[in-house]
Amino acid sequence: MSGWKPKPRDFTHPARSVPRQRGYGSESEICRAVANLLDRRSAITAGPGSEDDISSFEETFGVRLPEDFYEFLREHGALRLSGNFHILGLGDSSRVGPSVEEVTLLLQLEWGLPGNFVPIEDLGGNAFACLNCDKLDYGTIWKITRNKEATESKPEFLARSFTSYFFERLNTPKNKASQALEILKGHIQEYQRKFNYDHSRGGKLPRNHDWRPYRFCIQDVVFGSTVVRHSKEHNCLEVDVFLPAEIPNYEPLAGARALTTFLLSEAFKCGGSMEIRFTNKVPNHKIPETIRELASRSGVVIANSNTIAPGEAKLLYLALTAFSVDLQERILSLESRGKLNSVRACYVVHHGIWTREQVEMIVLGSAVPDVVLSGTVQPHERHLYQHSILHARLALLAGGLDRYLRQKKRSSDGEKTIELEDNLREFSTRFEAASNSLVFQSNEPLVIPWLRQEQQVEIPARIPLMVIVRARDEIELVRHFEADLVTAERIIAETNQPVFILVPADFRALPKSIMARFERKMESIGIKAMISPEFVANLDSEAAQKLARSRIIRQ
Amino acid sequence: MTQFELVAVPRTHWENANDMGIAALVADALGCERRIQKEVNLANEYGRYTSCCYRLDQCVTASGLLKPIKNITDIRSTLRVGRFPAWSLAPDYITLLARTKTIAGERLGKSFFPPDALAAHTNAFKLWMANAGLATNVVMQQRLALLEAATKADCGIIELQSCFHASVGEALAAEEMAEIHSDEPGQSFIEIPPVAMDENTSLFSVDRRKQNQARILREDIWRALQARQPVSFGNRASHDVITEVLNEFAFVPKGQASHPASIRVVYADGSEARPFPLFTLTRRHENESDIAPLRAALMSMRHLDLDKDIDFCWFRNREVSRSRTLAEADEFCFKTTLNQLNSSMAQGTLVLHLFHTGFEPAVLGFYRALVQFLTNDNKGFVRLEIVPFYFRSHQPYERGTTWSG
Repeated sequence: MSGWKPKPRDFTHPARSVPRQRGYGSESEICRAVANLLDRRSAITAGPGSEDDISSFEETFGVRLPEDFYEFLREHGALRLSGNFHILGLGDSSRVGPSVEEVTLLLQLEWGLPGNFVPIEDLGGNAFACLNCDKLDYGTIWKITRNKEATESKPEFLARSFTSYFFERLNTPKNKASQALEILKGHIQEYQRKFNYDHSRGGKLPRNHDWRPYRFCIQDVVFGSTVVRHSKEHNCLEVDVFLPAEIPNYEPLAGARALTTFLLSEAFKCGGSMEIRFTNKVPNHKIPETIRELASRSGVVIANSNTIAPGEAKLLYLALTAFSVDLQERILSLESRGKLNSVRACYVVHHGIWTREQVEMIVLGSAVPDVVLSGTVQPHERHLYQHSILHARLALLAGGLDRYLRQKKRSSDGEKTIELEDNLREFSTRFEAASNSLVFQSNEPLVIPWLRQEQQVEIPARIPLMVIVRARDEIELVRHFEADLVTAERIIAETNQPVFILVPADFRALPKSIMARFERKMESIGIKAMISPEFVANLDSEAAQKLARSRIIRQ
Repeated sequence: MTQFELVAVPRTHWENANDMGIAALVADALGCERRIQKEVNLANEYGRYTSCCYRLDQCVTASGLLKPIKNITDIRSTLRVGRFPAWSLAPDYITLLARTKTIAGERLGKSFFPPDALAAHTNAFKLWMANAGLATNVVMQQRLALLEAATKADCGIIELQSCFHASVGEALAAEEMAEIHSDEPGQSFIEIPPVAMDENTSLFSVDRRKQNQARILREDIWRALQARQPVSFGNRASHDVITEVLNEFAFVPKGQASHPASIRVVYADGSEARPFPLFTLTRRHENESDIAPLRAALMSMRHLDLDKDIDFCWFRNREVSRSRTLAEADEFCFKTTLNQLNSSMAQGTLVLHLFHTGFEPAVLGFYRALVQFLTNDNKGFVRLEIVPFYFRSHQPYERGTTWSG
């Protein structure tokens, strides 16, 4: 048998004799969904079809179209959504492609499509989704495939109605992503039209309450895209597009993590309440599953379906910033007493002002950490400013050591040392506030840098290394270094671990007699000084810059 | 842990230019402080000031003359032998200092106090201690005792700060204790009088969005007053709503006794401005003044269409819109307004029609200064009346509720 033979037209179909109901009591689900798609500019339609055209189609092909498809044709004609979802219909074929009339005729002639089937979508691979207009299974949707030999194959059931089929197709992950991409595209076009901004040329930048599209990349890998704005009315961040990518060779949810962290940072930067609302353009008008998954892994419960409440956002931000549990507890305790803004502590990390370890040193080491992290005091408020500088200096000095220890060095020929980007040594760091010291622990041996007289010391793997950090200038060293050595002696006695003391390069400028005294003392207690290449003046200058950057970080 | 040492340095060292070099550094630093007030060339002044203070600390430390003392009574004997008595303060001084952030005047929070300025600073410090509920705080009492002893001994004070001493655990405990002790009874409760909306405050009765904003802001202020939490300005309500709601709260409600209070003001960028005084003004219901009003836009270069209708702009945009925190912009507007009101009122009664041009820190700074000015008895018998006007698109400016006193 070659193909189907068209069935004789069944003009006795009972539905044909029933007059159509005009004017539905309420707008149909499909019409609402399509209106929504049109509103997001993620779909195009052929425009309303005339009832005469629809009747003419029914007359020509001897079918009675189900009410939902009839309503769809009458309201929208045909629909095309981002290239892979195309409901055939009537109307302007230049906008949405071939009409249902053309395709029905073509399939009946070439494939011998039975007369009770009306093709509604080309599924690719010689397959069409067809509406069954036979009185048996009236209104159901079937997949009809023509195989290579153009022989008959059995129709495959797809959906019980056009409405079910429409929504199943609309909500496939691929279509959801396509819709989001279409919305993103619309935002980008609008952004270019409105602001005409270009990194190289410059131009006007959008304000917080304008929709702003962003994409996140590491080199040439896109991690995701999002579109956000600050809602003045609700004092929150609104999200129109949230489109993370799953990247091979990165941890699961890496894209979602990057975008969620951005949303939280943006919520803080815009000065709102930290509430994040997802608009009805986000699929199903719900918080994306990837965010829920991230929250769930962090032990944060999000109660609402489409809104992350300020309290939930704070906890999620703390969790995604990956502060240690102790530090999180300390931050929340300080916040409850009005002494620290936990969101600011996270923001300074993601804004690139301080690292997580440096924030830990500041929060645990300073009695007024918010003053240091906010950078709001100015030099004429001398004591508070100096306090900020001293703690920033400490964080920078320790940060320099941390960076040095993390960097792996590879020697290719025994002479030339090659440092590879992102090839960092993994180790844990803990700050001991009582003694202002850092404890490093690595699964690899650690070579101690910056020792005097070319000494070479290596700490074996898994042995904790304790470094007492003293960011003192020359005069302070003269006054306080002996007391610091007393502290070191106590720590050595208590811990029985390798202990070093880290000081700035100013240490080398000490008078010889004083230096000799210190060295004798260090030798007697068994401690070595690590002398950073950085002078206090340089550290203070960088600290002042960091404080200035911290001051104006929100808009 | 942060340590503070207060070092008493005799007058001769402050005045003798050929001595340790203190005199020149102090003169330079005080000059910077004066110029910083004017907010001109701030980056240079800040740099210079930091450098002067740093060198001043080093001069004293490197002199080799410091001698730690345990009792105030040791000051004179230490000075007699040519040494500088150094008195260590308890570790929570820095947390208490953080409270002086919003306090200006008499150099609170500075690190050096020349002999001539010491008495004035001591009095200001004593007053601040009382106002901040720290009169019985041990650290504050220690510092006050040293200031008084140094004044008597004709000395100035240099305060040295050093960090990274063991152990922060003690410091945190002390810091928490300081918080507990500083909460004196009476300070923990603010009596909030009932505020009724009268017809003056029903400006937004036809605009539901603004009505809603006003309702939220009122609730925020109530909650803030009860919990002593700051109110966040800048995003939730527009400037006209802020002005009208603050007007409701700034005046003592009808039939109520005056219960002055204040709310903490925090902006969207996280910066905190001076508190805004509430329930301090008495509303007068007088007939419309027959004095011709001065017409001013709040800020220049924001609503240029206003230029033909106004006499001048209260603030220059380029002076307000600098790269700084919103609290600093508010402070600038506050000080400028106070100065301008003082000089204006020297001319007699003033009726000002103020056309709002947005920017919340300018609005808050202006009205805070206005409330302070109206509360101040020094304004004499002249009348001051400010009538705000709000921009309405495609309509004439809308007249707001009058602020007068």
